[in-house]
Amino acid sequence: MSEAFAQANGLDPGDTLGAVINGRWQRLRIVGIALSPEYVYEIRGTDLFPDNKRFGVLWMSRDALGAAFDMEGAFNDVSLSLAPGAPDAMEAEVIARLDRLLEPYGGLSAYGRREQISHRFLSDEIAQNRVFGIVLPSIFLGVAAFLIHIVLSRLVGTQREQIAVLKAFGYGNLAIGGHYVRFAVVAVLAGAAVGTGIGLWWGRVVGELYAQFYRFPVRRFDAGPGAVLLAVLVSAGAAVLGALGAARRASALPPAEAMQPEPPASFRPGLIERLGLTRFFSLTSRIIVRDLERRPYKALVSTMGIALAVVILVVGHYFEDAVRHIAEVQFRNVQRDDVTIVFNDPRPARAVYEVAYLPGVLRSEPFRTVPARLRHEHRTRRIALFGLAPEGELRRLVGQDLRTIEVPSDGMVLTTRLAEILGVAPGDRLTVEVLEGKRPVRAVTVAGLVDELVGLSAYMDVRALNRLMSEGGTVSGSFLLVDPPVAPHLYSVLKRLPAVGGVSFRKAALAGFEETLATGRLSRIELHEGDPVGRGMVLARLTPVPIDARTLAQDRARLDAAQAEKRAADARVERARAALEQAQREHQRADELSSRGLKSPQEREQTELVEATYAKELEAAVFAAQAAAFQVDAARAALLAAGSVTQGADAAPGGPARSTFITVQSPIRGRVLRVLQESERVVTTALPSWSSAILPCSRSSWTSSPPMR
Amino acid sequence: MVFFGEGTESGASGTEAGAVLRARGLTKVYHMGSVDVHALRSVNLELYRGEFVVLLGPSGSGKSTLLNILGGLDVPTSGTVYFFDHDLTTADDRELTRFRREHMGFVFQFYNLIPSLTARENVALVTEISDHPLDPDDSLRLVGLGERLDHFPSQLSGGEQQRVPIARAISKRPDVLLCDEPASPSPPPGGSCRFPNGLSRASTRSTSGGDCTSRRDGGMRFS
Repeated sequence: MSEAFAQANGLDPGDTLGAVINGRWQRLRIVGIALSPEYVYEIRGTDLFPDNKRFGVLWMSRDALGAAFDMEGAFNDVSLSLAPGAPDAMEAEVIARLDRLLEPYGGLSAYGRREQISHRFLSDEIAQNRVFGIVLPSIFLGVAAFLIHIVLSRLVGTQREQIAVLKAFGYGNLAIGGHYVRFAVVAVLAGAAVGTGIGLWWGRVVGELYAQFYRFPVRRFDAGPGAVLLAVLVSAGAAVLGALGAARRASALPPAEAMQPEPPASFRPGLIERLGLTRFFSLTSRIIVRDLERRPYKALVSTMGIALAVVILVVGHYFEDAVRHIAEVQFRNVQRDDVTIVFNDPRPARAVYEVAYLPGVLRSEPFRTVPARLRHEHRTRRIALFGLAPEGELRRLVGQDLRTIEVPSDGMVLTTRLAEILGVAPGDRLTVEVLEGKRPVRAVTVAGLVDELVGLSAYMDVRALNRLMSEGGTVSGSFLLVDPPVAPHLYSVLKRLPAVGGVSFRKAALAGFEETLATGRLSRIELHEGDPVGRGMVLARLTPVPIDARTLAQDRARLDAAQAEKRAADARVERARAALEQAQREHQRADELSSRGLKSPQEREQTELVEATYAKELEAAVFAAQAAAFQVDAARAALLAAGSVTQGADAAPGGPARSTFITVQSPIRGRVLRVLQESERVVTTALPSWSSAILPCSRSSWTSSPPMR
Repeated sequence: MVFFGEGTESGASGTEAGAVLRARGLTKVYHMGSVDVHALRSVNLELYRGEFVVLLGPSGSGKSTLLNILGGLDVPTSGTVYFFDHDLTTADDRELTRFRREHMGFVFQFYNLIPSLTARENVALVTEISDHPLDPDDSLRLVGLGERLDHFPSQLSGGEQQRVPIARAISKRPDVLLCDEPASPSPPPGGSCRFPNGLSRASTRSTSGGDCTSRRDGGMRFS
């Protein structure tokens, strides 16, 4: 099982979980947790963010899986590695030949490593980091160089007489200039020492973060002396560049200047004088304008420096806003469903109506996806062709202006980016090579474009897509609008439906989902990785979430019922005991009579049997009474947790009852390996808050509750 | 202008060939915008070994300009300056720097001390690049600052600050010592000042001295 999924669900080797395999509900036992380069970024193809709780990867031996599908020896996914040193062009050739080879077997067309989703996410991330690694330091270094320039220029200005004296006594220009460059270099060395320290620390933190996010098997941050040296050299280069101007000024200062104070700066009539606007400026404004005009270069560089600083701010906020905007548009305007279900295989349209009758489903809109290759002239692109319900509400085409575009009843709508890649415009005809079923090849008109924020997609009316596929009303899945309180129940039903291959919950549903599952608020965990813990030590405290009046009433009723049940059970025990005693007496008498020959041995055995039966009955009644006692305890505990029942001295008369902590104690002595949830928050059943501890013998789970069923 | 010295060697020989500094037709014109200001107009001058010369003139009469040109700090608009037989007017920046380092000592109107260096270090800054300097401690003792060697300029009184540049100038044992109003900002009370001692003693090491001042009374009396 993939690590992320196992951790998100608190599963460990040895645990079991259920899965629908080939339409049958089967129990699987976890034998190991693993990582795969294919899933460093564990995400379903259509999702924006990984959802490790609901999407994971399971690996089984091909034999076992083949047997489960009655397809021993078959395969449906193959990875190839090209010979080392093979040219890039070779990849396209291999793909083309592979496609030809696999086409008769229903091959869905091969793709290169660049299009592999984990590889793409990871390499995009690396590329983005590279850009950040160049752009941000450049801006910072630019600002630093500018600051050094300003500071040293001021310094040269104030030290001009000292400079001149040194020159008068025979210090050369190089020595004087070098002196000021050294100023900058000292600043760089000090900055580099601090920066290297912070950089190494931060690099490690970020590396660790990446390793965790992408589940890299190895966490190693390596910044060799070469990297540090390069960073110092680049910084020194920028600083020296900033210092050069000042150094040049210092060395150009004529030594005779020392003989007299600095002459007043030379001013000439400037722009406002030439334009005759002098009288519109106050005296103090004239100072500002003329000062700026006297040193236009300096004013320009100052402006540039400030501009760059603003750039940093804007860029930082831009990324934050952009992600938020995309998420908002995506979840509010585009994907408005709470739940998306995907069937294992395309189903007849009536499946949608069946889905609509599932508990909590308010609305169901079918969709059809078909893997296809779009071809226009020499350009091709493999995509999933989306067939949407006409006048659908749950999945809409929304452009950047947030206007909704209707799916035309005929033809295809492409995202702008995809149209660019294929070089098509509305009105052009595309060749669609379907990579499923009978693999029809059709020409379709581009009916319109939509500039969606994410992804490359092609959309059609689901009926038009059905026509293109020469099939009746067929659907691949359905978008659902769900009544939030019923979502957990729906989820458990969907998980067991053999026809449903995948379920993904959207944010709104998720929130309700988590809320309903919530069992308590986890206080902040003060333990850190590596901390030793002793047996019985309190690891965490859970404060039960407040319970509403209805639940409270239910809990009270449950307690009453349990108490009544217990009384009944106790009564049954008494009755059974009395019956047994009666049977024992009968048996004794029968023994006596039998020994005197007054009763037949057969009759004696009869009483023996009756006694044994009553003994068993008493035993059962005692167990039942014990069970009822447990029920009473459980019902009382539930109320206790809700804070409505208080005991003895804890009771606060008149006031609200004191709430009770549920403490989670360490079952063994060991060491904390990982804290999964440090901050205070509401936790749900089966959400692990700590991971395993190092034990003398083996790994053991410390989760606060049993693993998810 | 007075040349000052022992007079035992070639001093006061009166021959042109023996002149340490010889200026011919020195002219310096400053272009102040559209106006040309003639600071010097055809100055001829010879300074001999061992002489002590005081240059007197009203403010703006070109005293500092002349000293700058003689000291190799500035170049004339026209005319020639010879240091022995070296033509300073044709020397480039680098040669002038070397000339100043090897032969010239200056005491400026403003003290121009490096505030972040002690008195001793301020002097050492000059002796470090000289060939046969005095020990900075000795030169400071000569001007009566033997007790203030490790004081920073801000810790010295005005009069003491004034004497550090003198120690600095004599410590390198220059061939020519040029002083531009060395005592003008705060003249020490007449008579019993210790800097003349320093000067006169330094001068015994065969130094030519030039002093320019705008004081009509000849500046200060030397004991």
